Amino acid sequence: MSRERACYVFGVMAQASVPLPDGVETVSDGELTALVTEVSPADFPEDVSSLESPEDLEWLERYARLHDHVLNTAVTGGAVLPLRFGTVVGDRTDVRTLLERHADVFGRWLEELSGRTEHTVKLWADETALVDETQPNAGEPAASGTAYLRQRQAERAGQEQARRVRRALVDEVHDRLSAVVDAATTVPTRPGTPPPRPLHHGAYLVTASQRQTLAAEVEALARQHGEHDVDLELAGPWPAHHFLPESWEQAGDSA
Amino acid sequence: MSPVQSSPGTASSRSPDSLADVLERVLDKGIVVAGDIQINLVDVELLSIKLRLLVASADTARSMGIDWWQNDPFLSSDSQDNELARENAELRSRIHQLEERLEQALDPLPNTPSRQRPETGEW
Repeated sequence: MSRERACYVFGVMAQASVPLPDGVETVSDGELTALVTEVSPADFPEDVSSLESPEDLEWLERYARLHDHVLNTAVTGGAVLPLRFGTVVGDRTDVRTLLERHADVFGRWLEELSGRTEHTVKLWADETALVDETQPNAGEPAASGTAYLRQRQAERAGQEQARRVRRALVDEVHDRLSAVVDAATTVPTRPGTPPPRPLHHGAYLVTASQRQTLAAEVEALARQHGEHDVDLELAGPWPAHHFLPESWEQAGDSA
Repeated sequence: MSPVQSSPGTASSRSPDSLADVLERVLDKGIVVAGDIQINLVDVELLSIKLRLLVASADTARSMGIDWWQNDPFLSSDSQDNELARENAELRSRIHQLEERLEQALDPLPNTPSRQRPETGEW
């Protein structure tokens, strides 16, 4: 690497109106402000094929937590557009060029998100509490082939019922929360995510007043389903991670 | 100030800031701008791309217990596990179908739970 220093860019906002974590600075151009921190290119791994070392994982965790923390702090002071984890440019001049070049699209998206934040709700439920019937003879060896098949049939019917109950609960929660917010989406559970996994993970884009309504609705749902060990976890505010254009090219095209 | 807040009585304490949660929020999110910057940045731009590859590494993910990348054909060329999973699902589905057909065939029979399991399987 020929450069001594480089600029890591966390995100873009209209203006940073809250104190930012140590080491985070702002670079402004026109109406836009980028949140940056100086990094050494040497601090970034040279070889991506050797990732097993504990140092690499510590490095990843350190930067991932920093990225998350800076954006979560900034969003308490207004809408922020998160940039992709690992966005690094050369120096402050490059940051300004980036802001200038994308001023229209950055501005438009910040306007759309103005006064809005993302909140997430995770739905947890004790699966056994959701379905009352326990399978008779479950686990016992079947006395005959016919009995075995009947047992399997009953098991499958039970699983099917459990699936229906879960589906209905998830739909009710998501529909009722979606009704009181500006925008809603389901966050897909990534295959391979270690358990425990929530039954439902929703992201909701809210204005300041909708935020109260959302919290009240979450509480109402939790009370209503309390007897089934249903647990709703409301978290945020987050940057609008789930309500952004997927790539900058797309955002540019639709401008 | 913690960004995480919860309504009393509804929230659980499932460590909202676990590394898995942080990575879920951080990776694969956010606007990609580095790709279209072509101003004197060649070395640093490469660095950004490398970084993206790094966080997409299946090895890293596996060792952290987070291996969803493996199932993403774009991010992973290691589709062997997928193949096994697919095969497994297919076999399960075929067993399921066979059992259903057997059930249909046996359903008209009277329920005879006392009958001994036949020595030579009739099904």
